[in-house]
Amino acid sequence: MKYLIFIGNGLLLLCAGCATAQEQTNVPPPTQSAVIAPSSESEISPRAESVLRSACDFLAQTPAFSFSGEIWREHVNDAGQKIQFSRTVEMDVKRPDGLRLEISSPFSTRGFWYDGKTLTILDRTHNWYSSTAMPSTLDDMVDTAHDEYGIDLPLIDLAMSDPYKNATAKVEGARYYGISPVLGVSCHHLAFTQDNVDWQIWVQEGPQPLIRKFVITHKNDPGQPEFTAFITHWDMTDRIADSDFVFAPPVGASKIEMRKNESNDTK
Amino acid sequence: MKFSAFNRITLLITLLAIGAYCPKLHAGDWGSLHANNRSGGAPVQSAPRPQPQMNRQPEPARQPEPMARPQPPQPETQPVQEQSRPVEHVQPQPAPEQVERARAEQADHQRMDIAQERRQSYFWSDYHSGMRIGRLPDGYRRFRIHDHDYFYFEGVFYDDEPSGYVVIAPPVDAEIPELPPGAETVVVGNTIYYYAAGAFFLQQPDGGYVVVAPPMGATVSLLPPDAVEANVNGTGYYQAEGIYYMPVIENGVTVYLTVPQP
Repeated sequence: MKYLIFIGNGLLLLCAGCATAQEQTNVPPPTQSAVIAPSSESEISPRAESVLRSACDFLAQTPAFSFSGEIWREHVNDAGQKIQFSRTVEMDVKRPDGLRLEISSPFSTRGFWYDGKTLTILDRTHNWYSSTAMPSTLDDMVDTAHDEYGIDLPLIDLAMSDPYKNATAKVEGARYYGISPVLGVSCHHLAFTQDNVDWQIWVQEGPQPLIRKFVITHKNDPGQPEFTAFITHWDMTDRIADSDFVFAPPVGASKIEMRKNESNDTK
Repeated sequence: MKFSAFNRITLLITLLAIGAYCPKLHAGDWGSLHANNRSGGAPVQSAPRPQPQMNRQPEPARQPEPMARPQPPQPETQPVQEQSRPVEHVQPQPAPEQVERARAEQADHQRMDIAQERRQSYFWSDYHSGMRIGRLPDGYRRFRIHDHDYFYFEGVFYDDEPSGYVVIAPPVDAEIPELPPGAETVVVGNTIYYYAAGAFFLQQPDGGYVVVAPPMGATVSLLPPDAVEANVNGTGYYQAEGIYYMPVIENGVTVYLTVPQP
């Protein structure tokens, strides 16, 4: 039965994929917010909530997908200048227990494997790897990796089992800013506020509400540095074999220790 | 030179006051809402780093050498102020909250994983022990330890030899007025160190930073500039100035842990 549901979802996605991005949006009509709790001074745009929900539901209903793009992190240097550092990112997700992630730059390239049992990080620059046991679901792995090992998995929001609940957990305000192009793709532009961060998201217009851009503003930090992600390619087909989520050490790779995080910042 | 109990208490009160005054900061490097929301409770704030002005002086004439690094002209110079370093240095006893904030700051720094890129912009990244230069950079500082003169500029220490100025390992007990660019916070136990260019520093009550011997159990993002590979019983280490660094994964990135000689 489980496989029938997956196949059914896959067929639905295949049909959806045949349509072009230029078609009219299938975003549900705006309704009164029922999930996001606005603070006394913020407002919730039903349109923003509706578009976000459609994008998140689309991801949640997809059993396996891949995407690639670039992430940009801002660092505020000693002079107060914001410097941007970029990485390319490739992520493969197979629900509920498969994750592959590659984060690359000329200075640092890391691979992540999660197969429902073990999380392995490979430092490709030095050919060093480290593995540790993890819970059996992707959601629980993300929490354990964060809490116990301080591991940051960029864009992991897209892989959570309930992306909408995850994204709106602390949202206090939401606004809709209309249609904007992101690398040539027409997108709904949404902006959300929280106590700790503000964030914006651009969702592709049309039958496939794919997330194309994502910005987190760390508004409480000096200089308010931002994390920006552009997702340039989506593949919503189940093209990844289960064995691809199992780590196999490259030739000559050395195993090193994975230390637990001592900072209460992640607790 | 010793610091009285009054001075120690004054330092502690000052640090706590600065800590209370500074705005609350959150960990600013998480690349997901999930992580930001999960770690949103612990404010992160940089430890106070006073930055007094550095004395500048004209450079003594030396024979030019091929390795001389061209330096931009400095508009103003001042007479050098030589200092005689006290051998004893003070380890401030930070409050537990300060240690926790420093630890969170260190974790943030590691997770950003940009140390190698940032390194490219630092003066000290081009130097390692044993290099000889024909002239000191404009704006260098001269100091005296144990009756011996040394020179310093932006993370690089020099000794004066007949053949020229030689880059040396950071001499323990040397005190500099401000941290080298790119210094990272390193917490070992309840002690807050700062690390850059292979040197560990402790902040002093006068606002300066004194070079100390590398503590064991410290994790740093970058190896010392003169570190070399050392394979011991099939395990890979790096070694610099007698200190062994073992690669480990911490906060999801590769860092180097100081360990006793294996």
